[in-house]
Amino acid sequence: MSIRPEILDLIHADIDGIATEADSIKLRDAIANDAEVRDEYRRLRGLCDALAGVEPASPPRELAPNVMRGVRARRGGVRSGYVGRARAWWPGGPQALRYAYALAAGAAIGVIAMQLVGAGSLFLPSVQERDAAASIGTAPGMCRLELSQAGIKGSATLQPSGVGAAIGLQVTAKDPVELVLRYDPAHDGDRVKVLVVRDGAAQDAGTLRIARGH
Amino acid sequence: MTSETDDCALVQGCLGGDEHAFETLLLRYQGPVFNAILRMVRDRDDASDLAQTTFLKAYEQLRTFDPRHKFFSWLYRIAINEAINHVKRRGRLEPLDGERASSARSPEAELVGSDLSSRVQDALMCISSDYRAVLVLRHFEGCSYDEIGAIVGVPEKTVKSRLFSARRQLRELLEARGILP
Repeated sequence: MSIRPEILDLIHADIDGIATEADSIKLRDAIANDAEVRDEYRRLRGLCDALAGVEPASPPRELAPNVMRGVRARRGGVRSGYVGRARAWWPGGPQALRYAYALAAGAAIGVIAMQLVGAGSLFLPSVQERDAAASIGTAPGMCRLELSQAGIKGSATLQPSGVGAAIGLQVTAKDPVELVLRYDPAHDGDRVKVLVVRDGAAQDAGTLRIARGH
Repeated sequence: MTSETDDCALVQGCLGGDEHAFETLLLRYQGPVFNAILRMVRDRDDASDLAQTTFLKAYEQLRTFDPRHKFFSWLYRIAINEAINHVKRRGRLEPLDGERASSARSPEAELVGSDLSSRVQDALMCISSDYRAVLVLRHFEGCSYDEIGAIVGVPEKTVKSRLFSARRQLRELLEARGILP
């Protein structure tokens, strides 16, 4: 094929309906004076006519109902009402919202960690040790374990709750403290072992036991 | 094509929980989307499944739609990607030559249209899916070069070059099969 690229461009532009008036004049001139251009134009026109002759197909009748069934099943994906509007409104869109979720999760973990390390001072009014001792004494079935024997200032408590047993920690420390609560239902019964981890080694800090009858 | 403002309003309605808004978009675009996919994969059942997947993906990803762009371009992009991935997955079903294409024609394929339609469709299946995509979008969906570029994710210049090559290949196939003189 020896048709110049710019003439080929004109042929395709004419077929696509984007040729300018000047383009059309140039193309008409080329067609009139060059048999090869004339043939190329005729063949491409033939192709486009054949493509235009392909009949459009109707979508299956069940397509829309099937999609809507799927949409209803996924309604959790696009939240409705206030939640949906809030999510759509969130600055930066859903991507930013994901970061916000991660930030919130991180903050929650941080608060829990500070609560453990900071003797619960974030949420609870600071309690003097003697007050805590008094309250422990009055709580029925509560067991209290001083952690000082493991070198930690504070205590752990275990007491019956509505669905089982609740463990409480009151720890004061400058550095992070790693505590392990070990409970084996097959062997330990109503006891929970408390271990303090230091330098990768676990040290026994004692056992919490729920008083019988509770 | 319906105004983009209207489409965007429907998208916003859908994001606000209006199920009817999505249904309106679905009814508006199910024909063009189904046809585009059908021309890409030929099989009517496959096209129906892929169209369904396209709309459900669009629904799930609606929040990622950027209203500065055209909704139908975004939707076609999902549809064409689904179709191309399907063709790649089922590469063995792509005919290597015209005879195989003709013999593989299913009763469903006959429903695509007349004999001419079927034979053109057979020839279409013999060119690469990238070339087929630009031909389908230009000739069956009436998309501009710019819109095709946005849908298939290539520059306008590449669209033009693919379209020219695709036309040449298809024309030669149709001529070789006596469909074109």
